[in-house]
Amino acid sequence: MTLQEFVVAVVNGVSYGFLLFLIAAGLSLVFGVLGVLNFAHGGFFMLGAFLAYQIGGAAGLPPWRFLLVVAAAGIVTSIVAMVVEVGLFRPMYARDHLDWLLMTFSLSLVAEGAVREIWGVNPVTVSFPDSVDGAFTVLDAKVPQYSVFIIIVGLAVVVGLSLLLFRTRWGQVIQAVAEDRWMAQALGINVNLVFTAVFGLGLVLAGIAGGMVAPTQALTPQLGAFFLIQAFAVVIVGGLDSVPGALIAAILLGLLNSFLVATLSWLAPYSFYLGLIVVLLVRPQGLLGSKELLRRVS
Amino acid sequence: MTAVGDARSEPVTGTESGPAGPAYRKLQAGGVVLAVLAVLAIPSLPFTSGDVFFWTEILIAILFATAANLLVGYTGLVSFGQASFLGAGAYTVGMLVSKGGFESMTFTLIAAVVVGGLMALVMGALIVRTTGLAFAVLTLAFLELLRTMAFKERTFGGENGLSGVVRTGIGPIDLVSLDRYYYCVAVLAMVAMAMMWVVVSSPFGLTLRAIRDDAERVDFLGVPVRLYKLGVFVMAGAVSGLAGALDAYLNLFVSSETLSLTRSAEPVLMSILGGTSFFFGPAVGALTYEWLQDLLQARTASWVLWIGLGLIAIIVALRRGIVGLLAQAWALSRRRDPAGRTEGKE
Repeated sequence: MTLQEFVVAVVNGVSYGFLLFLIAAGLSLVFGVLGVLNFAHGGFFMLGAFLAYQIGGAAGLPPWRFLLVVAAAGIVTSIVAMVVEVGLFRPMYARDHLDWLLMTFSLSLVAEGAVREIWGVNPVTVSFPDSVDGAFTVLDAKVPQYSVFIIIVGLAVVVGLSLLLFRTRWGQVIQAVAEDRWMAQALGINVNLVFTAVFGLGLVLAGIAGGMVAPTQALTPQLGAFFLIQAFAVVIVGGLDSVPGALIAAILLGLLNSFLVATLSWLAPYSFYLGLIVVLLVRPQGLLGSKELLRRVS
Repeated sequence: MTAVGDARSEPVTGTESGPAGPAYRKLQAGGVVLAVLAVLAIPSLPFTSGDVFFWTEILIAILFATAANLLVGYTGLVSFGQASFLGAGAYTVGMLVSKGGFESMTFTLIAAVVVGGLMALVMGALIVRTTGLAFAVLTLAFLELLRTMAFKERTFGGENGLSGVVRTGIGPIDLVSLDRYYYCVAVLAMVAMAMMWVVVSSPFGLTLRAIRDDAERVDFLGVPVRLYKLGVFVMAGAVSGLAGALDAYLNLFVSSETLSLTRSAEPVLMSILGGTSFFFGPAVGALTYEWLQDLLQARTASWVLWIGLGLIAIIVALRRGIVGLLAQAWALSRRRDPAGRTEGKE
């Protein structure tokens, strides 16, 4: 592998990793606090992508306007998600995981159907934002500008999310509820409100991820399922209830994937599934998952 | 999964196949006889004879859903990867016929059952020690692994799939015509259903239900829980393999679509629709699902929207599916009947 290939693999791997983190962070946050593995997460992500198309249109936009469109897509996705949480999830928290698996899966069908209903079955495309649609030359290697753009947005989200979770009172409340919701409730925290807020926060990230993915893919109603399984791989390798674990796993799996594409390309399509299977069988709590997690996933 | 107010007021998947009185058994037996007669009559009825292909699909769906419900309803294992074995059966037929030149359907059908069962044995040996979320996600991961393999590797036909599957016959019976093939599927499906019925009514089946309700206690009783789970996993895999082979001979074509997440989730969704706590729940669910799909697909491109909403309604409110609703109505009507024995409070 030449130096050029190496540079391209690193940038693409890290960029794909940040993209996966945007999707996986919400999945992990929702599991950690609400205790729900949300099979409909991919559906909301897809909704974000289509909303970005709806709001911004297919033509290329200046980068800052593109970011506004992505943020708007995230916010609308999040509002829809919070309505679902209040209306559908709230009466269901007493049910066991079997019902949750089946219900969130059915919800993903609803999301797919809604996308088909609103935007039809034909793929739609979104252009790259203006002036980040070319390539940089780094060490003689051509690096797609949009990959770097994703890394910058991803870093901004990581910084914002860590400040929120680890440096604010809101973050402390969320951690308290994740740790022991009974005790949190006894201390006067409105757990229902925290659940709704966390679901909204998780799904704002999914919507943003959808908006960021939009220019890189032809958008079809199957988009959600494809990314959902990759996001599962990320959160499980990282440790289901750990957001930092999801970040590390996303970057690792992104790099693994891009290096396999450059070297053993026949193996690359399997890397995520193999990673997922091996980790679940050998170390179900993942890289950074808590001991408590072992009991909860099984 | 811990949740606020973990107390469960009623079992999510009921514990018995309805009220077990002699009258109920009579009703059940009558229903089965009627269903068998209906299945045999379909190709000659004026309003169904034009759709023999569609009705063959329904029979295969019933078989596949009943097999999946051995896991979901009877053992409490949610498998989102049951299409792995459907695909295994279909690809066994596809490879043997189009690449191996095997013409005997007897051999290929048996091979499909064996391959489905063996694959379930290997996969099950790895994953039956997990439960709940981990199990569901692992079945999904294996499914995607196999689908990618079928889609990418040229040996398995890649994107084009395997065409060139031909229906010959079983022994002296010629199955080229669709009507005849329909009866072949009907007989094989009934035999397989009868075998599954025997299994779930046996002590083995009762133990599975005990494992579903409380695996830990069953373990304390000295029952090898994992072995039981592996057993039922292999059985569901073998029957799914048969369903896949029958599907391949119906479509005369095999593609990675048999390994899609949609195909994989369908038997589970059909089971919920019909009622996972009843042996014939998945069959009723499959019939309803296929009929609804046929009805809605002709009118809208987004029928999954309606099926999704319907399933959510069932999971939230109905909980025991269509058959559960019927059983409840039957129990109510019995209670009003002064001659009938009171069934006790709900």
